[in-house]
Amino acid sequence: MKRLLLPLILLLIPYLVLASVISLTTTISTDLMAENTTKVQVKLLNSGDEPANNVQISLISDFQSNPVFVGTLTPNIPFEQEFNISLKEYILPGNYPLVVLVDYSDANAYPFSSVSPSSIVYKTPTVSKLSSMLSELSLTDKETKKLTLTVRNLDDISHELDVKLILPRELKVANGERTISIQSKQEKELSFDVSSFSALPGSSYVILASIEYEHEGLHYSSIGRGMIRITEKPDLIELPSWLPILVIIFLVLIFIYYQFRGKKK
Amino acid sequence: MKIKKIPKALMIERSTNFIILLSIFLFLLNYFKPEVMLSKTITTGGDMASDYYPAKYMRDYLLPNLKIIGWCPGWYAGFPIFQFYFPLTFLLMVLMSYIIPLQIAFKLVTILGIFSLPLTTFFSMKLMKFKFPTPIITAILTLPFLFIEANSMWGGNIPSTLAGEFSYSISLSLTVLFFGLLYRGLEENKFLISNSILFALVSLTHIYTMMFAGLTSAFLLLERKRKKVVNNFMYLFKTYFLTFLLIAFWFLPLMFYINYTTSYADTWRVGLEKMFPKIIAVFSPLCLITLYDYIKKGDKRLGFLLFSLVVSTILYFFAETIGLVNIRYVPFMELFLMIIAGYGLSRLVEKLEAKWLFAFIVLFVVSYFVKESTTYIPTWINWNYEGFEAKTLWDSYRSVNELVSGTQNDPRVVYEHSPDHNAAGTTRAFESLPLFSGRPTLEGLYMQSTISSPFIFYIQSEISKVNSCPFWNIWPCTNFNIEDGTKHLKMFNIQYFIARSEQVKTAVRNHPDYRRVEIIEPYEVYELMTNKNKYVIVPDYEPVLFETTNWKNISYEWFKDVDKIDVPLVFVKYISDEDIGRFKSIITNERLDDLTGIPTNQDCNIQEYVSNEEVTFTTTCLEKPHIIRISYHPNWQVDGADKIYLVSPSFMLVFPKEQEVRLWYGYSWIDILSYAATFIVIVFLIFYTFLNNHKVIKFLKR
Repeated sequence: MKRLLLPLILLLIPYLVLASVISLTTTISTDLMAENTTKVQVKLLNSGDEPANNVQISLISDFQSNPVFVGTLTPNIPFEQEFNISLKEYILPGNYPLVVLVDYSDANAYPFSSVSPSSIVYKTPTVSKLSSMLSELSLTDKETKKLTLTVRNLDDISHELDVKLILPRELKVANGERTISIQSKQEKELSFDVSSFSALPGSSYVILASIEYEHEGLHYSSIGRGMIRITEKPDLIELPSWLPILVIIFLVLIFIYYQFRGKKK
Repeated sequence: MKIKKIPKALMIERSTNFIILLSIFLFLLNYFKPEVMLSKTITTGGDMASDYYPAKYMRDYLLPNLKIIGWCPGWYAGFPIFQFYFPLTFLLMVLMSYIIPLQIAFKLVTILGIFSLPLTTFFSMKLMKFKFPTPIITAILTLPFLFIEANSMWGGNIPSTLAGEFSYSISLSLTVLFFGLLYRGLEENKFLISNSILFALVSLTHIYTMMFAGLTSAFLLLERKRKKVVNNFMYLFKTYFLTFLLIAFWFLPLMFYINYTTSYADTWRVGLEKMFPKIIAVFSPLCLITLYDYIKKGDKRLGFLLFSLVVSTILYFFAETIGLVNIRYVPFMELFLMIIAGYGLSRLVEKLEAKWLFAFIVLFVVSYFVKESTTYIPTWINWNYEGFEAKTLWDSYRSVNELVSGTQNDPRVVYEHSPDHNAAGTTRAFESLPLFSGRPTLEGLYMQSTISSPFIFYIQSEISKVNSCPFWNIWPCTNFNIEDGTKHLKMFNIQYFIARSEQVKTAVRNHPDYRRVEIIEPYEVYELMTNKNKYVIVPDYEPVLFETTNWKNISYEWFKDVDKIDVPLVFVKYISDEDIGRFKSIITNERLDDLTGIPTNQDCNIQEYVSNEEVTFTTTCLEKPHIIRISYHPNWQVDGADKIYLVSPSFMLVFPKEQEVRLWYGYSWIDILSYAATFIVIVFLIFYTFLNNHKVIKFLKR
C-alpha cells in the first residue's frame, strides 16, 4: 500500500499555474505651467514578472512634446523620465487633460498599450464642475458594443462641452469626439460604439473620457475612467468541469483494486 | 506456417502505448483545429508571418535555380538568405508544397516540432531500452513543457513556436531522438550513419540544439574501461565528422562569413519561477528519484539524461561569452527536467500491478492539469493560423500592397513601424511587402543575417512615432525626425512611404519632398519625389578611403550625422597602391572630423537593371565611383570593374572600367569547397548504404 500511496499523492496534488504578466503602473507629476513651457515627470514601474519590451512613452495633450523610447522595462525596476512640454498655440489659462500613452510589447513581440490620466494647469488652476462616469463593458474580440458615458453638470449654468473618448490602441471607437450642450444640474448619457481592434482576450483595458469646457476666459477639464474587458467567445459545447476529475477518481479506484486483486492471487 | 504468439502483457503494453500516443495527438489537435490548420490562408502573428516570404522565395526562386542559399533583395537592402538561418524547415515546406498548397505546408511544418516531441521522446526512451511505462510516461510529460506560458520566445514550447521559433521546436524534438539513437548506437556499435544524418538534421534546424547535443554527448566518454573510452570516442568522432561534412555546404560559409552579420548577444536576467513555472516545477521533485537511482545503481542512461541538465546550465551561464543569448538554453533544462521526472514517476510503480492503468491515470491527470493551466494559447493559435486574410484590416492592407506593387527592379517601399499594424495580423505585417507587392522594403526577419540592419532600424526610429530598436544596447536609435529620416530614405532608394500614425501622416504631408499618392484608411501612402529612384548612382562627393578594422562603428557614427552622409566612406583594412590612385582623400586615423567633401561634378547617364541576384548597368562615367545601394557581401562579384569596395553605410562601390558593368551574387572558394565536401560525403553514404558488401566498402570497414 505504501508503494501505491506516493505516486497517487504526487499525481493528485491540486495546484494552479500562474502565467507570467507585465503589469505597468504609471505615476505622473506635473508642475504649474506659468510660462510657455513646463516639465512633466513620468514614472513607470513594471510590477509583473515579465520584462516589457520596446517601451515607449508618449503624451496626449494640447501641448507639444516628443515621445521617449525606454527600451526594456525590467520587473520592479522603476523608470523615470522628464518631458519638456510647450505650447503649440495660444490657449486660455486653466486646467487641461494630459494622458500618458505607454506602448510596449511582450516577449512574443505582441504589442500592448495603456493610457493613464493626469492634468496640466496652465497659469490659473480651475476646478471642473462636471463629473462623469463610464460604464463597464465586456467585449468579445469580434463584436461592437455600446459604451455609455454619463455626464452630470453640477454647475449653476449651462456649458458647451468637448467630450473625447481616449482608448488604448487595441480598442477602437466610431465618432469618439463630440461637442454637446448641457444644462445646469442636468445629467446626460452619451453612447459610443466600441470594438476590439487587436485586443487580447482575457485582458482588461483602462479607458478614459476627457470633458472640457471654457467659461469666462478660463479652461476647465475633467477625466473619467472606465474599464473594458475582452472575453473569449464561449464554446458551443462545454463539458462540465467535474467530469475529468470524476474519470480520474474512477481510474484511481480501479488501479487500487488491481493492487489488491494481485495480492489475493 | 507457425505464427508467433505475442504475450498478453506485451500486447497490453503495446496497446497502451498506441492509445496514449494517439490521445496525445488528439489532445494537441484539439488546440490546433484541423479546419484552421488546413485552410489555405497565409499564417500571420508575431514573427511567424514574416517566415512565409522566405519559404515562398525558396520555392519560386532558389530551388528552381538549384539553390538553397542565395541572395534575397526583399529585406535589409538585400541579404544572404538562409546563410545565417536554418534552411531545413523551409526546404521541407517547399518540398511539401509540390503536393499540397504552400500555405498549408507552411502551417503543418510550423507545428511539426510540437506534434513530434511526444513521439520522439517515446522512441528515444525505447531506444535507450527503458522499460514500460517509462517511455510512454515521459511522452505524456512533454505536454506540460509544450504548454508553458511563462515565456514565448525561448524556444520549444507552443507560444515560442507561434512566435516563429518553429525551427527550434523541430530541432529540439530531433535532439531528443538523437540522444536515444546515439546511446543505442554506442552500446551496440551500430547506427553510425543514422546518427550522423540525424545530427545533421538537428544542426540544420538550429545551432543551439547542435551545441547542446554535441556537448551532452561528451558524457558518453565517461567510461571506466580505457578501451570503451577509445571506442566511444572513435564512434563520436566518426559521427560528428560525417555530420560536419553533411552540413559543410551551409556551416562552413556561415562560420567563414560570420563578420558579415550583426551580433545579438544578450543576457536575460530571469527568476527561477520564470525558468521553472509551476506547470513543470510541480513535477520536479520526481527528478530526485531519478538522481537517487543513478547514485544507487549507476545507470548510465540516467547519468546521460542528468548530464543534459548540467550542460544546459553551463551553456546558460556562458552564453554571452560565446556571443549567444542565454535564455535559449533554458528550454533544454525544462524539457529534460520533465523527461527525468517521467522516469522518476514510472519508477514509483515499478513493482505495482496494472502499470498500464497508471499510464492512463498519468495521461488524464496531466492533460486535465495542462488544459486547466492554459490561458492564452488557444487564442494565439487561432490568431496565427486563421491568417492575414481573416484580419479586420485585410482589405486595406491588400489595397496598399496593390498600390505599391512592382518588382525588385523598382525602388524600395518603406513603412512606419507601428503597433497598430497588429490589426493586420502582426506588428510586422509590412515586412511581407515583398510577398504581397513584389517590392523590396527595408525591415525584415533574420535581422542578424546582414550588416545593414543597424542602419535600417535607425531609419525606422526616425520615421516612426513608435520604434522597435532591437539592437538598442549596441546600436542605439533615435526619435522621430522626418528631416533626417528623409535624407536616409533617399540613401536607401525609397520611393514610397506608408504612414500609419496621425503624427507621422501630418509630418510627411507637410514636408515638401513628399506627395500623397492615396489614402487607404487607416494608411496613407506618400511618394518621396526627390529620390533618384536608382540603385546605382555616382555620389555628389568623392568617396573617402578609410583605413579601419572597426568599420561598423565608424559607419554607424557617420550615418547618424546627416551633415556627413553626403561624403561616402570606403572601408579597407589596409590601403594598397592601387587604392591610393583611385581615391582623392584618405583617412588613416579613424577620425570623422577630418571629413571634407570634394564634389564629383559628374553628369552621368546610368541605365540599370536589378534582379534577385544580379545588377547590370551601363554608364558614361568610366573610372568614376559608382555606389550600388545594395548590402555588401564578399560573394558579390563584378565584371567591368576591378573589385567591389565596401562603402558606407553598408553598400557596394565600383569604379567601372567598361561601359557595361555586371555584378552578381556568386560562389566564393569557401562555398565551392563546402559544397564539394557535402556532395562527396552524400555520394559516399549512398555507396556505403547500397553497396554494403562491395570489396571497397569492406576494406574501408576494416
